[in-house]
Amino acid sequence: MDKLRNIIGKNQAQGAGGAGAPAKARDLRLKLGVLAVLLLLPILLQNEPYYQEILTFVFLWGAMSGAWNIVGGYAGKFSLGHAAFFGIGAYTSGLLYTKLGISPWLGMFGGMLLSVIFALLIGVVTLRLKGKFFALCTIAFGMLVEIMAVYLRGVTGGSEGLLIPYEPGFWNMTFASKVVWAYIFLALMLGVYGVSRWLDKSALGYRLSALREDEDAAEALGVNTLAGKLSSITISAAITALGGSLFAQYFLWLEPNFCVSLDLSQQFALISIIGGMGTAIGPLVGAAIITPLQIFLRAAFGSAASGMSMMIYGFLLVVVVLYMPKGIVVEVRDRLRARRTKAVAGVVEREVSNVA
Amino acid sequence: MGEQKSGMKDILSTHLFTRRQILAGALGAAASAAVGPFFIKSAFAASDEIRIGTIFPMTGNMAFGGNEGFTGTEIARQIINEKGGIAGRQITFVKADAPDQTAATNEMNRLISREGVKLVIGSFSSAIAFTASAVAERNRVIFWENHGVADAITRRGFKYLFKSDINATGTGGGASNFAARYLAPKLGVKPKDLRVAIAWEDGTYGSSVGKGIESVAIDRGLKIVANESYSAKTTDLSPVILKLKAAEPDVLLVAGIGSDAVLFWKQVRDLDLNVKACVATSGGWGVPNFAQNLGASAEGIFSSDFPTDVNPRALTPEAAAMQKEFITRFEAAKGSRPTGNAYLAFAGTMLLFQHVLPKAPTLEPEKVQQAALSLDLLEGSMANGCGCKFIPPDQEDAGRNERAFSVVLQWQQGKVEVVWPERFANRDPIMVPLPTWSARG
Amino acid sequence: MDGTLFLQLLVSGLLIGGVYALISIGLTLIFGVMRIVNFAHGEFLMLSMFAAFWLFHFTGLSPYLLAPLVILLLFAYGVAIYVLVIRRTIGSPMVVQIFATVGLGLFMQNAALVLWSGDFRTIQTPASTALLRFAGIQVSQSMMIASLVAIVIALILFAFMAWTYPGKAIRATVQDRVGAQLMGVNIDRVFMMTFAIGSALVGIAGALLAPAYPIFPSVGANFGLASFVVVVLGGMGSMTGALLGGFLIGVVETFSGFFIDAALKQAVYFLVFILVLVFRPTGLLGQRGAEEIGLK
Repeated sequence: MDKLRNIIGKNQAQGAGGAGAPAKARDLRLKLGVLAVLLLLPILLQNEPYYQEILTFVFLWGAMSGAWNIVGGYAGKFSLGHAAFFGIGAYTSGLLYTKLGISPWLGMFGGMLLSVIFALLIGVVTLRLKGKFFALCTIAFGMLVEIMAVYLRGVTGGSEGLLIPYEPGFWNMTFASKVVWAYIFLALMLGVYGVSRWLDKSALGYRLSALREDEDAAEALGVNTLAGKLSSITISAAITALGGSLFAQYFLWLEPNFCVSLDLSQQFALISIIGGMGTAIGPLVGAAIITPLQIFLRAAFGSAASGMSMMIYGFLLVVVVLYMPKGIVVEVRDRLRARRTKAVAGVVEREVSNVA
Repeated sequence: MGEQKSGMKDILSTHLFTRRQILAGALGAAASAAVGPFFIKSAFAASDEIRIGTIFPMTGNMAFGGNEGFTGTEIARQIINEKGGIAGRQITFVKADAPDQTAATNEMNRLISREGVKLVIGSFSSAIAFTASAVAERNRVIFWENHGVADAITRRGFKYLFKSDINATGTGGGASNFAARYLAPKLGVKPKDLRVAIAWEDGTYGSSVGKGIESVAIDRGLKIVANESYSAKTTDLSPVILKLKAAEPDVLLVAGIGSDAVLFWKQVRDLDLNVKACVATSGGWGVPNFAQNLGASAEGIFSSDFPTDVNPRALTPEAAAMQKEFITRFEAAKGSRPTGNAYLAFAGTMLLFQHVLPKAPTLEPEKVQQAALSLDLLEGSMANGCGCKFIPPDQEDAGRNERAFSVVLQWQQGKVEVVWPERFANRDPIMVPLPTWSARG
Repeated sequence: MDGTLFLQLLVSGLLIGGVYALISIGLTLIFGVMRIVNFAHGEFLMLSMFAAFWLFHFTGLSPYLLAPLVILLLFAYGVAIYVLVIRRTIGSPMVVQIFATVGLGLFMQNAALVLWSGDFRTIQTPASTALLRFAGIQVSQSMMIASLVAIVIALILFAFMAWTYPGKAIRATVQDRVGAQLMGVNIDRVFMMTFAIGSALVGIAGALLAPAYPIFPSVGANFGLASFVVVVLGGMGSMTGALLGGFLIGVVETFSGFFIDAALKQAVYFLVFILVLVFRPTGLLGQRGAEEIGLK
């Protein structure tokens, strides 16, 4: 028996990447390689503003879906009102800047703060709601914010939009160079990835997955589900608001029908779901697939048929949800793992028969 | 213990895999980007042609207007090319589709950096005009807007933006002007005694036009008895209509964008709101679909609108010939009379091709800018009856054509006719005051 | 304020409320039996309005005569969607249950845009402009018919559930899925019938609303949102609740639109929606089961 355990142990060491140390090194090399490519891409695409902008949007929507994933994927609370946080962030820093001249670098903290307060309100109010009812309730909250952003036109500019003046300068958070924006959104995306990785390992992360799997059981076992819910929604809201503030300075024009819309809320969720909920990398992969796909589909079908790209998008969502509900990343990983386990099992079998 | 180990392994293998995938993807993208420039069909490819970009919402909810705008623009190109082009060079269009704002920036970047165009014509919608012109400005590319009405488009101090049409204050204000100058005397009351009720949809279009209605109504001293906004997506307008009804107005001044206009007028009829006149402001009230959907109850509605089929007497001989040519070609292409929106596209583009580009055939932005700013065309010079003088860069509203104006149309026998101001009119206004619904049967 | 205006407001509110109730009955039936929230519900309505429009366009017959055809079409569509999509979501994780229908809605709305463009259309018949007058006020005949039909349908469904065998089978399934199965109820068939009937009910709504409203691809979006509010207020799964919720929301919307601001009438009913979800998640007349099963 000991011998057997020994063998399995040895094989595990080998299986987990043929002797642990080199595997770790390879993993690290890969990480650094990806990072290097991501860091180089904006510069490489410097003379290609079309592709560079697509890349910038991949980073932005990757980050926003990653933020949604913290509450949707990790805590299993499907919000369809996240655009409210995005809009609160965008409008707060945008208004502080245009009306009071406060630098967006400071204003964005104001947006995050307001967004967190709003998130706490939603969190407390929706305390008992689960699943579909939580989703319905967040739709209502999102719609309320959209309606108010249109209605309070004296403050927000309503549907006529809020114009942010283009005056390049560091303190204005307005940059003539698009490369800078690519790096800002890349940093945001990497930040969200970092938070998600931390959640993978932290006590909060475990609490959230307990919450997601079975809320009542988690509570019975003494997991503080309330703290889990509130912290996940506030972290998520703060990051989403930050993304909104940055977007405001990037786009320089805000309009409720776009930046507080139900469509945008859906987009955050869909990218994350298609990529792979509950994993740090899923939303980023989702954004890397969906964002360019949307833009290219529009270019390809655009003038041929209206709505074609969104139709394909909807179809894709139904198929992914029905046939790989865990998302592309998890699905592919599981298949790969199954193959690997088979291979390891084969080795163990052989060694066991050798021992015998 | 074993479980934990295998858990670790899972995590490792996951990341091993996904990262490798990403790396491959990212490298692929980088490679294509590095090689990409060699495949660009750039402006250099055909130096004997003048390449110009067009950006319209060809798809999505604004597709109808976008396609109409493009048709007007395209007819201008055909006419000029048949006459030998500009300085002997033919014009070609590079088309882009922008159903929404993010699409507009994506596509503008494509036009400018991938296609190398130096001038872009657009864009039907104010929202598209906002974002597309911002990209153009930062790339020193001329943006030639023929449609977007929001006042704020030209309030950003842009140097390379020219807007040939009237703004929202002009269109909305046109309704109030008409009420004060024509309706009040006709109904035998002083403007200050004319009770007007204002209603507008709270989207980008309606809120900017509604503001124009209100500010000019105040200027003209009209008695505003109600001022209501509503969402164009609403399922029911009865509270709005009943509120207006309770205010007992003589005249309705309305800004609606699309199907809300049909719902609005249908409920006005259902709830028996009787007014002496209804003056709408383009948008959903002036399009053929409106009367098709409402039938006889649309008769008599006014719309302060973009000039459409103005009386040829008010045009210069060249402009009158152009108008005739345009109507013939548009009917051949679309099977219907051109709308005000199509006229804007055609007249604005002809202005560019006939009066601006001959002086700057290389499309050098500074040269185009100079040529545009030197224009001084009197009313009646453009195919839709407008004149042209652009406001120079150092002043407020830089780039706006201060000689663009609106006219008042009226639905008569299922068609819109120009009825005011008199010099552009083809018909006289009818049905003032409007008969009550019970009298109309 | 004078009495006539008050009466007119009340009647207008009840009429739009009747429309909401009519749209919501299918949604609440599907939820009550299957515990599925059909996020594509508004798009089903859009589809049935287009079906009514095209049938009218090609035959020229009154939309009221064409209603049975629309109902049949939507019933068949319901069966197809059940087989292709919904069947797979039953008992699946929450993410599947929610986002399969979200994706379906996205698909349907944009497919309509591809097929029929973004232009709006209306059905022009004498019926669509006819008015009824009483007590000094007047109302649209088509809206009146829609409201009355909503009441009739709710009553018929109520009777169907109470006194017929299929109705009893459905109720048994609602109360105890496993038990019903042991008693020989074919759950899959019950679900398929429920979804198809729910969809056919939307067909009735579409046929009756087509003469009253402009028809375009995103027309379902706002009716859909309103029907969620109605169903939650009335109690998910309750027919009479949908009726009551519909009329209540209609009146609340009209009065708040008149007395507060028309631009805020949606905000008011979303607020009501949140308050109901928070303080009385079973709604006014919700089944007791809803809080146990439905809230998971």
